[in-house]
Amino acid sequence: MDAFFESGLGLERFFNQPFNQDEGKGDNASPDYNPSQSSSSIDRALSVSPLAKIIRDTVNMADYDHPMHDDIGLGPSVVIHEADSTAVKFEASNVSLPMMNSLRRVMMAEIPTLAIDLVEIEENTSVLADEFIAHRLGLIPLHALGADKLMAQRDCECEQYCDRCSVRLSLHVKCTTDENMNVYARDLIVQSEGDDRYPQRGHPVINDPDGNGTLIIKLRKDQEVKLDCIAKKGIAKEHAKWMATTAVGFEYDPHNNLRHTDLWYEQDPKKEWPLSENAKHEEPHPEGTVFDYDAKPSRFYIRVESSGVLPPDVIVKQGVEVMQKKLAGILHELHNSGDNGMGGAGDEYDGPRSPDVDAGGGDNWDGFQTAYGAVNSTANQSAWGNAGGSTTPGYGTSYGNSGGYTGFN
Amino acid sequence: MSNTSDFLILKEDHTLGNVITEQLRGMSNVMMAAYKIGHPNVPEVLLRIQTDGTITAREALSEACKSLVLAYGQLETRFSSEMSVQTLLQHPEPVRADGGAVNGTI
Repeated sequence: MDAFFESGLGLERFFNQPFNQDEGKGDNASPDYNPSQSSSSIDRALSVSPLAKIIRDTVNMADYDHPMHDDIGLGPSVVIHEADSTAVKFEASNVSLPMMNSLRRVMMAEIPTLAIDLVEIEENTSVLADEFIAHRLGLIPLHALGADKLMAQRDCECEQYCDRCSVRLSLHVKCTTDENMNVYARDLIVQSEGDDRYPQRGHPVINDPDGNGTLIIKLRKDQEVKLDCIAKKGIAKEHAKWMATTAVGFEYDPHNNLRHTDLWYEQDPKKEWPLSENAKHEEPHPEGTVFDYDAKPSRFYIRVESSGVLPPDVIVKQGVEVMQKKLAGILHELHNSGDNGMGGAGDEYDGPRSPDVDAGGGDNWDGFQTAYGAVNSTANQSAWGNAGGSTTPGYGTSYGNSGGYTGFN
Repeated sequence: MSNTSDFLILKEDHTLGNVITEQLRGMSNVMMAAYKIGHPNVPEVLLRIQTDGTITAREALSEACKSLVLAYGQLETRFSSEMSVQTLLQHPEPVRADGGAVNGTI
């Protein structure tokens, strides 16, 4: 526990320690998962991926004297207002609005989780059609702790699916009584060999007092359902079934001092609009204050509510990780095309590049930095780019040449 | 203009475009930074950076990304340490959601 008390106070520790060095045993927020497991495995994953190396190097490189970070003394700070197993409410200050907004967007749309994506139906004599059941199965929340360490199925070497890129669940139920039978998520049986680090990964989330989980189907006497499900890693950008959050509350400037909102009113907006819960943390500007046109929001009140597949604090942490990986992807591309003689876009196609081998599993957002490359200079300058307007093959052809953009050159 | 560059970022959206341009605008040697998403169905971000000439646009982009990685890293560190304090305050003895004791696994 000593470790985190220090880490909360001193920047020295933050900058002198390798990034993501075991972040303290007290790192877990939610009692629902094992802290030492989770932090060490994040370590492991980060230590192999090239993107992670960039992130680590960037963070380690920073020091007080570096002119780039002269504002770092005022870096982000966080106060947690409430936390339980389903939601965390916190306040972040000294951060920019775009930074927090990106974090919000990423937490809602790009946290990798697990959901049933493929259903092989062997027997279905129920009243529901096959595709109807398949859809219902897809929406069942599955424990996703460790899902980020799973390979993305499309990056996996296997023919169709395997234990490294999927979790297999089976369902075999038959009603033999006169009374109708309910089939619940608890009846899904995980067939895959699990990962010892994440024993719950792929298991249906069951939170109700009876321990049933989601109701899948009801069966009459002699009706039978027998099927196999393949759960894959995915992000909510592709399908909402992969969402890790249910709702993300996001507020700043509760007194509307910055006038970012124009409140509709009949007589008096102050009387007609109740103050939000967060208003108690800030003071309204007194009457008659001269409006500051340069003022920018810097305090944000965020409430992350988990759908149950991941503890809420893990969602926040993974959100940060996803953002860092996106940025590292750009750095990676910038440096790569710089090394080979400032060749510009064309040089990224020297040969096929194998996808990132991430021992803990591929990252499906890594797609952008594989074959087609993440960043292309379309610059019209000779300093480091060749002729402008070049775009990636394949990608460019399907969406039209980027020359179309030169319209605003 | 030798101090201006366009970057085409594939498979990204406002999540990345907005945060990067805003970071670039905060840099003293960047004169202009903007992005556009030409069509909402096309997953491409076009980023244009104009600098004052003391650094290249490419360097500016690289610096911006590094600062952001760093800032997010600090946010995460602060969040984690606050979270452990919170957990400790709430659960001196960790309990599971169902009331059972934590036994090392989930």
